[in-house]
Amino acid sequence: MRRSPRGYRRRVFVILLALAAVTLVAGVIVGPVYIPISDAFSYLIGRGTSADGSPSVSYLIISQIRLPRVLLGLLVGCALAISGGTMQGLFRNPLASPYVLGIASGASTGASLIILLNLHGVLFLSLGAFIGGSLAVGIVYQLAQERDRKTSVYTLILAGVAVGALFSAVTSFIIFLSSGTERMTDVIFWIMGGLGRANWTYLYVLTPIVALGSVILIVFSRDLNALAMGEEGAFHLGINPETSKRIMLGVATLLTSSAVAFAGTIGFVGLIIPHIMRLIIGPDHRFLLPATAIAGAVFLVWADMVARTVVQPAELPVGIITAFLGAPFFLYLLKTKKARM
Amino acid sequence: MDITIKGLHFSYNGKPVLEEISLSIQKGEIFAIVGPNGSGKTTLLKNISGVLTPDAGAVYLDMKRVTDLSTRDIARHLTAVEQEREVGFDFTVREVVAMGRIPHQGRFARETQKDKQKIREAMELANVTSFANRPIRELSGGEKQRTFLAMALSQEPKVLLLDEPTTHLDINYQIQIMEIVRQQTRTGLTVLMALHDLNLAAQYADRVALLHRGRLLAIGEPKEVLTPSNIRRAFETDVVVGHNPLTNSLYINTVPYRRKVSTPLGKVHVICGGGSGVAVLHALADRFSLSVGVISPLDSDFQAAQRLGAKIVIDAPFAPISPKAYKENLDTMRSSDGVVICDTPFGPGNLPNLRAALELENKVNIYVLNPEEIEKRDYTEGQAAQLVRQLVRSGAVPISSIKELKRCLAVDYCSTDRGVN
Repeated sequence: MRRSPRGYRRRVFVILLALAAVTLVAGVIVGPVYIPISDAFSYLIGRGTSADGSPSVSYLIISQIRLPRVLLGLLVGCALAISGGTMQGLFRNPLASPYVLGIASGASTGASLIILLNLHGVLFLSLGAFIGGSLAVGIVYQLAQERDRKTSVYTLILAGVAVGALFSAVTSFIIFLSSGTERMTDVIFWIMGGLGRANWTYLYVLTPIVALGSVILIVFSRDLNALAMGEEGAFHLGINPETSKRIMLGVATLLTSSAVAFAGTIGFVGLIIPHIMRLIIGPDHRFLLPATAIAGAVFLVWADMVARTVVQPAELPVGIITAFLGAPFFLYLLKTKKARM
Repeated sequence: MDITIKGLHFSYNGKPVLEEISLSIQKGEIFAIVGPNGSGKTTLLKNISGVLTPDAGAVYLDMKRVTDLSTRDIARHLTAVEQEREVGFDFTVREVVAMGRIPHQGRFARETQKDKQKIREAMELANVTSFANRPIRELSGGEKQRTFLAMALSQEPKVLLLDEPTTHLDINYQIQIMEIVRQQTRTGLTVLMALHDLNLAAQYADRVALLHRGRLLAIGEPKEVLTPSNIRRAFETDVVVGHNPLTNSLYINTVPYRRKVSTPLGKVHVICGGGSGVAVLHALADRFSLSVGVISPLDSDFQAAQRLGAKIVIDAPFAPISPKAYKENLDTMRSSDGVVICDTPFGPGNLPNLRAALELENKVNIYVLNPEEIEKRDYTEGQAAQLVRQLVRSGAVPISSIKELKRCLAVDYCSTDRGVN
C-alpha cells in the first residue's frame, strides 16, 4: 500500500511545487484589503506601478505588508518543518519536534527579556530570541556529552525537557514582573508566535540561513536513513554517527533558532508536517526532507492567511491556527492510514 | 580477508573486559566465539568492527589496522549485524536491504544496475523476496534477522561479523541462517560470530575460541576446544560431549546438577537395555546406589548409567554375553538389595541376564516391570517369557509403573522387616 515508486514520488513533488506557487499568489491576494489577482501577478513578475507611474495602493500593500509576510511564512514554515523532520530522524522518534532540545523555551526567555528591558531596534528582539534559544540548546548539549565525546540521544531528550522547564520558569517570572503592562501582552503574543512583524530586513537575514541550512540537511538526509538502523547499524554502513549527528543537530538548531527569532514559537508545524509527509511519501529521508520543507512552507502561509482573515480586523496568533488545522488532520491520517508510532 | 588480532586489551569504565586477546582468522573461515554471558564476546566483536577502540593492541584486516581506516573504508570490507537491532520508521524490507549499498554509493546516486542486482541476489539468498514490500517492523524475529542478513550481504562484505544471529529464533530459522552463512564462505567470505549455542558452534564453525572472563581459554577446532573440562571451566557446569552421527559433529549436553546421595537407601541392580532403563535409572538415582548389567557400551542405557554414576557390567556389543561378564553380573546382583528387570526386549544376546536373575533363587528382592507384556518383547521364541513367568511364580514382584516401583522400593527399604512381600 505504501509503496513509493519513483513515479509516485515525482507526482508528489510536482503537486507540492504547484501548491507553493499557488500559495505565493494567494497569500498576496488574501487579506483585509482586496487585491485583484492581476495586480498580484503584475507585481510578482516585476511590473508593479500603476498607469501614471506612481506606486499604487495595491503595490504598497503588496511590497510592504503582504509579500514580506508570505515570504517570511514560507521561510519559517520550511525551517521548522525540515528541522522537525531531521530531529525525528535523529531521535528515531516521530514525536520529536524542533523544540525538543529546549529552543522554544530559551528563545521565549530571550525575547521576553528584550521586551521587558524595552529595547527597540529591528533586530534586537530577534537577536534576544536567537541567543536565548542557542543558549538553551548549548546547555542541553553540554549535559548530554558522555565519555569519548559521544552524545546520548536519551540524555539529550531528558536534558531538553529539564532545561526547557527551567527557561519556561524564567519566562513566567518575566511575565509576572510585567503583569498589567502592555509589555506582558507583547510577551504573551510573541510566545504564541506570528508573522505580523515581517519586513524585508528579516528576510535578508533569514533567507540565506534557511536556504543553506536546508541544503545541508538534505545533503545529510541519507545518513538519517542509516541512523534508522541504530547508531551501530549506521556505523556498519560507513556512516560516522557522531559526526552526522553533530552536524545535523547543529544545523537544525540554527534553523529553528532563526525561525523562532523572527516569528516566535509557532507550534505543530515542525511536529506534524514531517509526520504527514512520512505517511504520504514514505520514511526515506532523501525524499522526506525536501517534501517536508515545501509542505511546511505552504502550510504555514495558509495557516497565516486563516489567522489574519478569520476574526477581521483583528488577527489570531498563527500558532492557534496551526494547532487547530494540524492536529485534526493528523489524527485523521493516523486513523485512516493506520500509521504506527 | 584475514583478520589478525594482536594483544588486544579493552576496559570499560576502568574495568578490564578483554585481556591479551590474540587471534588470527583466515579468509573463508567460519569462526565462532563462545563463552558464558558477560565473557566479552560482543565487546570483542565491537573492537574488531571498529565500533570500539582497543586500549592496547590492534586489529588488522589483511595488513591494515582497523583504527587507521575511515568508517566508510571499513564498511566497504566489513559489516556486522549486531544483537537486537531495532529499525526506526516503517522502512520496507527492500528499502532496508538497499541500505547495504550505501558504502558503495554517492550521496544522491540512484541505484545502478549493479546495485539493483546485488540487492536482488541478497534478498534471494536470505529468502526475503516474498515479503520485500512489507514494513520491516511488522515482521517476525526470524524474518527480521534474515532481512538484516540480506542487508549485510548486499553490502558485499569480505568479513561478516554476527552477534548471536540465532537468539530468539526457532530452530528451523537458526539452521537457515547458518546454512546461508556457510554457503557464502565458499565464495571467500570470512565469518566471525558470537554464539552462545555450543551445538551450533560445533556444527557450523571451522574453528572456535572459548572466551572466559575476557580471556581466551582455548582456540582450535570444535573438538579440541569444546571439551568437558574446558566447558566446565568456562561455564561452571558439567557436560557430556558426544558425537552426532547425523551431522558428523559434536554435540554437547548439560548434565543436570544432582544432589549427591549422602546415605543411599540400598543397592539396586537394574537389568535393562535398548533405552528401557533410562527412566528407571533416573527415577532411582537420587535414593539408591545403582548398578547395571550386562550391557554394551553402544546401548543408550549405558550412557544414562554412566552419567548417573552407576556401576556398569560391560560386555562387547553384537555378541552373546561372555561367561566372565555373566559371572560378574551375577555377583553384583547377589550383593544388591534388589534387582529391577525393566521392560526390555529380550533376544538371545541378553537372555542370560534373565537366567542370572533366576539363579538368585529369590534371595534378593526382584521387581519385574510389566511382566504380562513379556510376549511382545520376546524375541527368543518363548524362552524369555517362560523365564519371566518363572520369576514371578517364585516371588518376584510385578510392577506396572515407575511410580509404583519407587513406592515399593521406598517401602521395602525404609521399613525394617524386609522380604515380607
